[in-house]
Amino acid sequence: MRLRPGDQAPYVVLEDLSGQETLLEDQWRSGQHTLLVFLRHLG
Amino acid sequence: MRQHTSDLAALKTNVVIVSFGSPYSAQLWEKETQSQFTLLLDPDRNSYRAYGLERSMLRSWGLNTFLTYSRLMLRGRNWRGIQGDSSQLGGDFIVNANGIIRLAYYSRDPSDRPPVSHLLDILGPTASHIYLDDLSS
Repeated sequence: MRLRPGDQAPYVVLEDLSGQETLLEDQWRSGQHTLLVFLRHLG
Repeated sequence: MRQHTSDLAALKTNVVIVSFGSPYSAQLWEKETQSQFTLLLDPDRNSYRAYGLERSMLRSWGLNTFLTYSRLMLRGRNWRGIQGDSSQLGGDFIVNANGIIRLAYYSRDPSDRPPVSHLLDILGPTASHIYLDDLSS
């Protein structure tokens, strides 16, 4: 289901390049705003 | 977007790139693009599903896609073949410090991204004040 402005951003677990798990919510708590860019793939 | 790194920094915006590529591909991509942004990986694409990002073979492989990749290769980007799910579409989201979505942009095809000027308008100090007023009315 598509998100809309005003919705709570989903809490998800991602990995950094060393394979360590990281909470996405730690990103938006670290600054005023977070721009998330979901890539199609890295080709 | 790299051209606007200083604008984004001035607006105290944290840019996070999310991909479902492998760590090896991600390191190659970082080296090739010289990206200064945080890159996080989601090999199972749970975050793509959670954010409502769609899959579409038809929209992923239209004329715009071929033109975009052609332009990138002419600029020196390497083609590493199809990796992972080539039908997965991307998108852009702006999230405030409270975890509330300010922008949800779903790419219609791989070449479709919001103009950076639009992102800067949403991130600007006056825009955030206007948004809070909208929520309280």
